[in-house]
Amino acid sequence: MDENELETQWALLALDALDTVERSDANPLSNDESIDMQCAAAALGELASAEPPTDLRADTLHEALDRRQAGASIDAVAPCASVDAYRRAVDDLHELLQSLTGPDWDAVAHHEYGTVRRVVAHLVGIERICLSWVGARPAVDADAVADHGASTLAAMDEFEHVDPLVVVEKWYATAREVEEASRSAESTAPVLAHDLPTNVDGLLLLRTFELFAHHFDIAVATGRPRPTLDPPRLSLMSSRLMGALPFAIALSGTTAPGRTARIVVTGPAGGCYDVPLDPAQGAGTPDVTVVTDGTDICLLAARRLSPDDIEATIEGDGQLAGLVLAATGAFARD
Amino acid sequence: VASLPLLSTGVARRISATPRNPEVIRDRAPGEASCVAAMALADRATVSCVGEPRPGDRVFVDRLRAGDDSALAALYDQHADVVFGIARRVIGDAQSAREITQEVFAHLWQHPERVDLERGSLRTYLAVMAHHRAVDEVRRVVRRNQAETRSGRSDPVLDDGHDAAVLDHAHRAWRGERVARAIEQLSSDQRVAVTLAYFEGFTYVEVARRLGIPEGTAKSRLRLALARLRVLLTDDMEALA
Repeated sequence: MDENELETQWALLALDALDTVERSDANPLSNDESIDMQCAAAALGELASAEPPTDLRADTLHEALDRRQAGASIDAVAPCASVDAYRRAVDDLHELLQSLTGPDWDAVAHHEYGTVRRVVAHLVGIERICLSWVGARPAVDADAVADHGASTLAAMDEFEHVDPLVVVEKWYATAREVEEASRSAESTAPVLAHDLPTNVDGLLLLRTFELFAHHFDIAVATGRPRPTLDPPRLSLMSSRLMGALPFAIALSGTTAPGRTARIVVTGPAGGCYDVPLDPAQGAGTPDVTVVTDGTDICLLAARRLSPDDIEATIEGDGQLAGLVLAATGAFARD
Repeated sequence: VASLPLLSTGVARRISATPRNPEVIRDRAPGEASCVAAMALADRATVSCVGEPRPGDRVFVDRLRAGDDSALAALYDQHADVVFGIARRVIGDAQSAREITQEVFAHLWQHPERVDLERGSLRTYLAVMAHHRAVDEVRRVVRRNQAETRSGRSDPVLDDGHDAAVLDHAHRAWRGERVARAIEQLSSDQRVAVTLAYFEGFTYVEVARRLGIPEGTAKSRLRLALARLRVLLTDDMEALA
């Protein structure tokens, strides 16, 4: 028996004895003991390390994918309906606004609209426009509401000196009207949301992103906890965002024909998406893989985080990843 | 852009190959004693503890959970050597080692949520799983052979060359002169416990029952035997050197 063989004998003996001890249910090892034993077993196993046959790789991956489909997240959650997501976003923000007190209203929450009270007034203005878009009020002139911020200047002025809590309730009531009208409307009815052609369902999704973004703004400005997304809402927002990402890239003018990015969304309701970087083409073999958290990707889409701010792991073409991440916020209108 | 498709969802696709990236095994601070035991066996840079998760392990687990098959391919490239190697050493048969390797990685793909990185690295997890499954296979074959022997078949007929190879390896491994001599140097209590645990494939609870001793005693007896064997075999190796 040569030295290597002796080592192997010892390794096998040790591995088996460790295994025998660890497997007991009657007198389990402490956590530390168990970890130490596993560590020792694995370390000893290094003695046996050997190059596998080259064809084993393909067989192994094939066997694995037969058992679980690629792209199927074990954390998959059915997405909620857009109208339900919108309603939850409204309720979440309403709850935050009701908790605000004196100085909170004058905290600067937005680079364009200014204070919290003006952000809420801006939302009243937007909800009013949405009522027109979903058919609950007479149509508005598309040119007059082409710009998201400018189209609500009148509302911000209107509520400048009104008790903020009154404005909050005004906003909440109008948002509930939007919800009710949307439930009655045909979800596929076309809508031109400012400069974005979509439909009622898509509008509600855009509004969900917007309310989430303003919730984030106000929470940061007033020192409140940042908003969280329940898994069904996160599932809806992240999956629809990924589906629309090729068009976001087109909107940004950064299409990359023939290239594909794999976006791995982690966390609750995560998923794995191969995104063609040109809406006219299908996905190919990924040129880059971006792994990031679901909430982060939604904040990126809402332009509340920049590509440099999010925690992402990038494998492959980093420049391409930069283009994709930069384009993710193309639908945000603030 | 005529209409924004805010209605569709993305799809995941096929495996993308990842260049092989051999793992550098690192020491694990909380398991220093285990490291010492391992290092005493072979003074090689490649042999040490693998307990501490690598920085990328968490991301890999997240990617597996999300259904990213390229992560599985990358993990295969990094760890198949230890998984296949352990299986082949324990079983002594390349075909069975292939099957266990497939099983280990398929299980990881199916159940990434079972990886607990608080307990060690992904490599540790895979190595331990490979060992568990390999030992199960050896025990299954040995027990079947014992059952056949007890039922009066003095010359058991094996199903195929694979089973024969498994048994042959198991027996050959334990007939090694030096290991046998080391076992002979154990106290009789320790020797009986080790023999029952290894040759007979009993758990230490079963060992305790058969010897009429408390389970804790059986466990400590096995551990002491193991420690003693380590010293004896290490001395033997040094003598060889």
